[in-house]
Amino acid sequence: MSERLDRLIDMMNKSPKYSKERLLICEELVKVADSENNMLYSFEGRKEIIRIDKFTGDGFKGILTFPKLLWAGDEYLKKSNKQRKYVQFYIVWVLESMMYTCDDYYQIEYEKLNEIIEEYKVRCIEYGYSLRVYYKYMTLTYMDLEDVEKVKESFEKFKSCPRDEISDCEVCELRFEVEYELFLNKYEKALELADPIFKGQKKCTTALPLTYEHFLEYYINNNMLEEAKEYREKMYRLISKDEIYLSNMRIQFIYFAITEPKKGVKIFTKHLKWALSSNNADDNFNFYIGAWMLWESFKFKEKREQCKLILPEDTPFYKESGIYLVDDIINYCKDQALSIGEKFDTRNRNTFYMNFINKMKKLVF
Amino acid sequence: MQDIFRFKVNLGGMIDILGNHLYSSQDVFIRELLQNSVDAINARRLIEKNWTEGKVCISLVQSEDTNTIVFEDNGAGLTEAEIHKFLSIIGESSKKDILEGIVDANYIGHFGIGLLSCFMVSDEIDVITRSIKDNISYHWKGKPDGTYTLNKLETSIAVGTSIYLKCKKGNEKYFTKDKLISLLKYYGLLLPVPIYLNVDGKDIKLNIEISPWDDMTLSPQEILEFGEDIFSEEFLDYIPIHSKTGGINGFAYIIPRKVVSSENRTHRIYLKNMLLTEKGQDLLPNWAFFVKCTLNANELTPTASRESFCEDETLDKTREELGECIINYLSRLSKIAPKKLSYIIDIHSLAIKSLAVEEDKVYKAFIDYLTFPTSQGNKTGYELRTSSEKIIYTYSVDEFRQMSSIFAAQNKLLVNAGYIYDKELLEKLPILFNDVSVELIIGMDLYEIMEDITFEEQERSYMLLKIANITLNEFKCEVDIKKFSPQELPVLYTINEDAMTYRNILKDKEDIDNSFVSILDGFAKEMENNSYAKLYFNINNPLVNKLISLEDKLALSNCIKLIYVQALLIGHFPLRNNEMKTLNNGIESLIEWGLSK
Repeated sequence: MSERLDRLIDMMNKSPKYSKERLLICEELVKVADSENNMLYSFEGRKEIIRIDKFTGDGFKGILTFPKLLWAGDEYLKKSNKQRKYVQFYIVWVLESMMYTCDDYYQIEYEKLNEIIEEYKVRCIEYGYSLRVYYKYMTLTYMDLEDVEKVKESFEKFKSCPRDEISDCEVCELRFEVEYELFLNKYEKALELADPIFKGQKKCTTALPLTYEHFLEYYINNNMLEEAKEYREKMYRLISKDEIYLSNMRIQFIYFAITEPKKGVKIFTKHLKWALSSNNADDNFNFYIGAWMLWESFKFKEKREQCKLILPEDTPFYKESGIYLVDDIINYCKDQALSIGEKFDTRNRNTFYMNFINKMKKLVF
Repeated sequence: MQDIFRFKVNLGGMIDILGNHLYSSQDVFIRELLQNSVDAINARRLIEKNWTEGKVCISLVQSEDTNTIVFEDNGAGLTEAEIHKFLSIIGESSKKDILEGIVDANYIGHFGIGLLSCFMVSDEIDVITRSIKDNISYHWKGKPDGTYTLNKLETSIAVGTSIYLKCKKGNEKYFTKDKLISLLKYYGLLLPVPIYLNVDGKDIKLNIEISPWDDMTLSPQEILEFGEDIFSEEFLDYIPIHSKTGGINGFAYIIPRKVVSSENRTHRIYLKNMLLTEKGQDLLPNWAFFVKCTLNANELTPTASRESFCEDETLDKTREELGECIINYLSRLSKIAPKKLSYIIDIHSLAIKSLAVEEDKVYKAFIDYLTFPTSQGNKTGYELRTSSEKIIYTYSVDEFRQMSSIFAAQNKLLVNAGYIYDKELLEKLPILFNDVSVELIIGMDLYEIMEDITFEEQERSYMLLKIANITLNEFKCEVDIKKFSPQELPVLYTINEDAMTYRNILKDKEDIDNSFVSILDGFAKEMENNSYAKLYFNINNPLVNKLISLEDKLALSNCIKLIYVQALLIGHFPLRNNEMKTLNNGIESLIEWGLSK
């Protein structure tokens, strides 16, 4: 190992976790490790890039990094008997992360997506891990497709698989169970399960805002706007400073589209820059479908043709004067939502996204 | 007439609330006992003006059945009426003026729930007390079911209070000498009353009584050592801090390693010299993440759990004052010890930059001290903003690497904003400071440093341009001919972000032997049309002039390819297979040519 690689490894270990600084170091580290044919550090650096991207980015860097990580990991396992468990663990960890991330990018073909999911399952079995996470993923997929029987079946399988070191944290699993119960309209059960999360007895960074989101979605779908009000506020406080919650802005917009669109405009102006800088197509779809509904409702309820806003300078319809035609904003958000949605439906060979748009329209108007 | 009912309190439930919800740890029963003892001593001082012998003695009585903690103070003690009122009514505090609801400033506690916390570790609380106001001693025994007994003692004891706690099952760890020492030191280190633990018949003093910020005899080194003792970590320096509003005195110690701004740091925050909490984030401005504080507050209002302060105007003002102390220190350091300041900023620059991007106040406080790499060496934010020149910057380290020599040769300033947050910081300069202008330069937009060639030069270099474009088409690289300094530089290679990603995808596809690399195809397809690289030939360069005169088209094409690969290597771009092949062929040709001579 060269002195340069050694120094970079040391720098990486000393740099703060999930920081941009660590990301830059890792990017340099993999270049050097590749040039030295050091498979372990080629793997390690890429694993860190994916990890940082997962918790702070939009997933794009992770996808670009994934194929070479898998290759480096496999090459290493072919040649070395040391740290096998470590490499295997992270191969499975990265594959899990990719199952979710790749789904968010229509650029990845349907077959490839299924290949990743299958690969995850195969590797879990090969390396001796539980399929608990796999069945959780399948449950969520069937929830999207609203296939109740398959949702129940996958959930049962999820519950019957033992927890192990690749399982999600207990709080995230609990949150998933809340989501499941709400999907089946078992509100009381969901509320009971969510109690320790709400009370802060069970903590995980994303669990609380996402649990609020599940209930907010449920309340909106069931026209329980009083209850929705409190959860929307609580949720927003927890998500307003972290770009990873870009897609979660949808439900915020939908709430305001139904209640008081004027108030949602502030959230739109504050977070549009997140959408503009994100590569994640699914996150953008969610943001723009919500924003589209919000602005349509704003136009309808406020009877306004134009409004004055401070928008980021890289907004495609940016106006130096700050005066925007409401129709221009609607058209931009609508075009984004429709074009991304169409691409996803083409990729997925179904009409899920278009149906979703219609569902949102029905909810608001 | 309406019936009036009274609420009933389930004491067991209350204890559960205290243990599981109000207090973050059961450790706090020690704090509550210390607090009561110190308040009792202060109460006696109010009665006996010249009395200075207050002390708290703790002992651990070990027996076969169970261990017992005995907490004794020689404070004011309690009369029978006070016992009924203060020990037996939850929420009633001896430290409140009942009519006015005012709490004497010397008292630490005032909620009347402190003693209850002892039920978290003991199934019964025995209190033996004699008030300074009479000569009768009492024994009070309380149980968690809400019942208590009170007996007069036949023998008279000294003025003061002793509390006996028998170990409740599951809490054995609190009834050990080591745990007691650590908790007593932890909570009571700065209490102004001596605290003793009786170990093997000997009283060991556990606190220092005078806070280090009140002790004028301490040297800077001793102050640093105090911080290091508390936090078990060495520090770069310390900043004396005070806030008139919050009645705060203390030290902020500068952390000697990189930290993330969002990371939770432990502090030692004392309220009236009793440790209140380690979570001091709310007390400090959020940008003060690079310090750990130990401080005492006299004027802030604690929450009922006494583990943080109430968010009110006083706290806001205090936070501002503490921030000013830190900024004043940094500003003073910039004048008297600029090297030290640079060192501190260097360690914490990333975290400072991350916050400066978000908050104007932080930006203004730190921008002058932050450094930026430029074509003329590192420059501070102050140097940049006070320079009369327009600030030109690039946001890619690779582009900076390629262009800085050109800027340096032309004695122009180019700032490398390719590192984290630098681009955002530079872009904020003209927003927050008048008369500063900044401009982003990207590889495709080099009019600042390049001149167009003349019509005659264009005619003369026609063949080079034509052959170069044909030759480099296979590398998706466009060619242009310009004039720029330094003349030693034959070419400049520039590439946009999409093209860079596109290049990397193609390289991965060549390198990797697994089917998953094709997941990138969709991205490559999207980028294909938007990604382009450009190679600028420098007509001022002698080699380029030789190429212009070269008539052998094949030789010209080979030279162009080699120059292209050289430009990639200078820019630290990993070579793709076809580029590596070009390099190998070129070298082989050169060797053959040399051998054939």
